[in-house]
Amino acid sequence: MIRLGVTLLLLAMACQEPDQPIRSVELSGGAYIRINNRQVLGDPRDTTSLAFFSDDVFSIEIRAAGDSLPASVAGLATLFMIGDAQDETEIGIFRSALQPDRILVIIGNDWVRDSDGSISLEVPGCNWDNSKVFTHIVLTYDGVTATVYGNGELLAASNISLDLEVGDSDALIGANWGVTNDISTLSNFWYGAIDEVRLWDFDLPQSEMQFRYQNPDKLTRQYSAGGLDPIIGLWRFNEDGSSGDVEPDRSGKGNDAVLEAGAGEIGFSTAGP
Amino acid sequence: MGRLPFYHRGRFLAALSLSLGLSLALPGCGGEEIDTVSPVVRFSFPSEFTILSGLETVRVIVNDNEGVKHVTYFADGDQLARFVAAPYTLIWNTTAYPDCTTAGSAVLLTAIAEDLAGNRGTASRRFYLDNEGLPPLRVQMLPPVAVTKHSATVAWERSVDYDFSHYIIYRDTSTAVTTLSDSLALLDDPDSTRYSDTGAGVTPFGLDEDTQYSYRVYLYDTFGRTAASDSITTIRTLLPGAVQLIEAAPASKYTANLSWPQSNEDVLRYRLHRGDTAEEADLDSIAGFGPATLSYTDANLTAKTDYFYHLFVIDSAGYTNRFSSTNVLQLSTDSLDVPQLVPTASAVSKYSATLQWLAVPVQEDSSWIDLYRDTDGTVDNTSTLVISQPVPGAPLVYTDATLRQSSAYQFRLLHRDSQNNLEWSNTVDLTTIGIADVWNGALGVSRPGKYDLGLGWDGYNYQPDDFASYAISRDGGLVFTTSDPSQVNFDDPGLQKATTYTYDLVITDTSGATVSTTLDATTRDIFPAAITLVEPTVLWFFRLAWKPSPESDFSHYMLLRSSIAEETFDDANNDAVADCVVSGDCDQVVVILNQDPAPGDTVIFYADNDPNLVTTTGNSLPVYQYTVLTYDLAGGFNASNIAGDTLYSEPQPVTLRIDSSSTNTISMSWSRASWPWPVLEPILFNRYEVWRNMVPDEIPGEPNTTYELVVPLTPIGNTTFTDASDNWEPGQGFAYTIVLVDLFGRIAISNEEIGATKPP
Repeated sequence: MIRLGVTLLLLAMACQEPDQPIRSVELSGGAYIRINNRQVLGDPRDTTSLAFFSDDVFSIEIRAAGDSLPASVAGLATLFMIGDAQDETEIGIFRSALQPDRILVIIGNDWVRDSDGSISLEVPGCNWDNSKVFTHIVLTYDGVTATVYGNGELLAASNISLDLEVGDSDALIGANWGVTNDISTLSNFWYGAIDEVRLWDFDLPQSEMQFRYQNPDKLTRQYSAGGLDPIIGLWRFNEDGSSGDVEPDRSGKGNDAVLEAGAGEIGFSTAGP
Repeated sequence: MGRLPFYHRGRFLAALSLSLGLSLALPGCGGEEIDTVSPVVRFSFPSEFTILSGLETVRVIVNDNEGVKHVTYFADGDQLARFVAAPYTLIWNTTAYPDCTTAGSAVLLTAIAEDLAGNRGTASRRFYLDNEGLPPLRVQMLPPVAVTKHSATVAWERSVDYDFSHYIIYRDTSTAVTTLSDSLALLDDPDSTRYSDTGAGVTPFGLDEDTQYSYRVYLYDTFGRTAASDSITTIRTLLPGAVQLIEAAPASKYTANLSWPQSNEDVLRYRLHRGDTAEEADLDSIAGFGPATLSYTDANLTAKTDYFYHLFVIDSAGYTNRFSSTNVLQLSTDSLDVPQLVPTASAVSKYSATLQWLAVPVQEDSSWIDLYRDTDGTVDNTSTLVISQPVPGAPLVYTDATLRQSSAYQFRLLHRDSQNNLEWSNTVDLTTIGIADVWNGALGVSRPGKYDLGLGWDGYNYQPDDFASYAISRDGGLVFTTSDPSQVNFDDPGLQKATTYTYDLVITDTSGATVSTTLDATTRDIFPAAITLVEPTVLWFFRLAWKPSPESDFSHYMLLRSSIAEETFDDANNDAVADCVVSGDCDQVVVILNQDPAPGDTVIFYADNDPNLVTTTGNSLPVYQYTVLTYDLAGGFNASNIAGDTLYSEPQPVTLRIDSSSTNTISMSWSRASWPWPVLEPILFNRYEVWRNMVPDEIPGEPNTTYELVVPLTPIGNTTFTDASDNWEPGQGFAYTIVLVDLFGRIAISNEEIGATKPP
């Protein structure tokens, strides 16, 4: 009996496909990831929560791949956004529905513009209609200048002096609030894969952009004591899950996200760098 | 302790292993036992007490458990023979014993067999012997011991006959040797089994040389019975030995030097032979020598020839050694030395070449060096003999000054001696230089003129002087010739301006050879004016300016204007300008006389306000082209550069910018339309058009595009617009373009910008 069991185990091992690690979450228009904002209105600002955006210095780092949009979709598709107390988008990063190699970024009511004044920013090597092409997007803001990088290259730097206030808005990956924190008003869904999202409470320097683009698994160029203190959120999507599951915040700050299928579907993929 | 025998060592080790309680597997141990079993031998033939005589065959049978080493026979204690291999059969010569035929007198024959371990087995039988009355047994002749030219030593088996009496040796020149042949000696000692025949009485020297002799021994016993040896020894006496010739010194052209070692023979004389091959080296006797002569010089030979020598030795008996083609000396007489020309001539000119050669050694006889020359590639004694001079003493260099220029020659030396031996040298090829090699100068323009050209060239200075003439032709026609070698300039007048002429300079030498060179020279054109400004002014006239011509014989300017497509003066050679003047297809605007432009006149201005100039023709903008013709006093002219413009400029695109967005609006602005003449802008401007598209990178108004006109806007200062709709999706994007339309319906399309409503 024991010999039979060992034989079956060996057969099972021989027939098993080699495991491929999960690298990204796939959102199919309607699904989204909601990052809980632990800030309680009226309380002192908790700078380990998403309220850190209101300190006017931040960086958002996203690596994602798109997919062809349904013909019925004419609007922007959301990579990342967070609202404000007026039920408007305070910070948003979108892909263009018209041009598959462009993104649009808004802070407050101002679009970030390139050196020609255009608000659609061309990303070298980007093709949002190709699900196998992952693009690295970074938005930094130091309170005066909003700077956008794509695949390690500087895309735009705009003077936008604002006093940001995100209130208690949860952040969304793959969708946009119509009314802050009201899931019945969601729109501008993402079609494609999200490999990783990072939030920092300082503006990442331009000198690191090529390194970050070419080293998807590394958070810093070199170790330093406290070097990872500024990271507020880190979602890697490297573990299988389903709607309602928590995607833990790997930064240790406790800003866990929740996978929400909504009107679409959530899946996990081995695609991604 | 002494060394143990092998079998003892085996036992010792076996015992040791047993005493230690070990189980050892030793090769040879255990199975090896001492062979103590003796071989068994017994007689099988003949039976005991058999009466034997002569040669008898005795057989034994031998058996042993391990193997028989040998079997030894004894007769009454005397060892007869030993055999180490079967069948151990003994052929017993019984004549060596006295007869024994009475009882108790039998000979005891014993056979002792010994095996490999040394064990012995013995068998014996007794036999009676009875040889009396029988002839003795024959003895065998052995190979001859020594043979010389005059003697021979022969040998035979010893007789063991108990009744031996003597041997008698017989000799014959045939192989049938009998007792009738020459009796040489009687030998009564059975151990005398050798005899040296010195040939006494045959010749004064002994046996005759190179002669066959046969010998036979007859054996006699004490009973007078005899037996002839059943074999005959035949020998051939020798001839004198040859000596080896040596080339004592290298042969020269005509002489060979020979030597040879002293012969060991009784030399009477030597005789030297010479032939053309090794096989024929014994044909011709060329000299004879006494026994004391050991060298010879063979003179009067032929150069460069192979000779084959053989030396015969003649001994006192008059015999000579036997000839062999392998005992021949081959040598070759030397050849005439090959002359050698230095591979290249040391100097080659138009009419001469200097040749050098290496010295040749002085010969045994007189010799000469001849220098030959030819032109057909092959130099032999039918070619031209240039010089002939004896060796030695003559110079080793010669300059042949009878050559023609630009010609190929071949030179070769011939070395010949008094016997007309000939040796040719290598061939030197050379080519004399020609006039083209000595003059590679150039013809050039020393003074370029408008209507003449000054020419100059490099002079012909070859020495020795063979100059004949210079000749210059222009476009194939002779225009100049001289026999003065120092005249190297020529001025060619009466030419056309800006015209290219082809000149050929031909230099001829006294031998009629020529060298030429060609030059394309161009007269200069009139220095043209240069238009620097054509400026449309308030839509109805042009302001023009040009830099004056620096031409010294300036006459006047003529300003030409063209608005005809075919006459736009765009021909690179300005032929169109000339055509225009001749055909009248262009407008002659003005003729400006200016005989002597002042140095300060750096720019000449002119305003063309012809009322016939038009701003537009239908939907096109006429282009007016201008050129300035500069005339000189000879009536020629040259056109300036061509410059032109339209009276009206196309509208320039405005620059669009997306300003801001809300959830249902997109606000934009653009730069104000402008023209060179601000006062006319309100007239020239018609409208802005805001175009919107869902598809980027299309052009408004083009077929099959989805651009749609949102709104036309006036006046010129209205440069903002907010596009709005309640039906747009959140974050909906559009491509926008502003189209500027002017008074004449001409359009300018702005940049395309992507706008998007703000997501809620």
